[in-house]
Amino acid sequence: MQKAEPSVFLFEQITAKIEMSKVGSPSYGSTLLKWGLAVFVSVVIGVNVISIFKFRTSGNEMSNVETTSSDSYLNNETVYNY
Amino acid sequence: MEDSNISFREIVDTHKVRVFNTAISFLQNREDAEDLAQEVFIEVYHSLEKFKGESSISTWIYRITVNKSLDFLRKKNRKKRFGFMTSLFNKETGEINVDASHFDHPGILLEKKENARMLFEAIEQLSENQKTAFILFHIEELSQKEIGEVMSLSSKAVESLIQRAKAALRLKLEDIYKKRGI
Repeated sequence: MQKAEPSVFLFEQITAKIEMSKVGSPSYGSTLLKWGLAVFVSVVIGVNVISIFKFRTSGNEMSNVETTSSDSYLNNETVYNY
Repeated sequence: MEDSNISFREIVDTHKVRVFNTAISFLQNREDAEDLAQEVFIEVYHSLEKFKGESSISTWIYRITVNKSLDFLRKKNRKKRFGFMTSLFNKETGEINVDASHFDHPGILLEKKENARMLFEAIEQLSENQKTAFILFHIEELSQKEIGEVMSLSSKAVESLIQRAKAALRLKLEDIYKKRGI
């Protein structure tokens, strides 16, 4: 059986693919920056979520206090006129 | 950089025919074999510094070629298993998809093409190890010792694989002949 010959441009095709893979690959520095930014954004969002949660919880407690407060319009001296 | 490019070029020029022919025997498709040959040499380029010289460079390149060919076939078989409908036509070229049983090896003379087609159809059905041993021994004409280095097996193990491959091929070819009414 005779040996089949590959494309005469095989070497050029290989080097083109190697060059393309070099251009496409991101540098180490920009990858680090992207990860750093992602972590920062996640932390900010996390802090905001936690603070909203805390605010709502403390807000509920305060409204409970208001309904029993003497400042409420319903008190013992309320006169009901019939 | 220019020096390393020259030596890489020498490697490609020295081994490209071997790599391409090995790939074509496994993949049974010229275009796939061309793509695979490129992938092999890209791997060689990236791994050249790590090559420790424990085996010869040709053994190393054969090993990469065999591994990539088997990976390609595994992916192809996975696609077949999950593809409920296979298109008759190649999506990119619009040509009719050629069945492996109609594979025409570019290195085979016209009058022997029919026999070669049936042989390659039978080879395609062998197990990975038997296929590798058979292709490297009978088509690439490596010695059992060289095949052992490529496959990380002893010469005895390679000999056993080759015998089993031949026995399996005999049975498969009988089936193929029966189906075709020969």
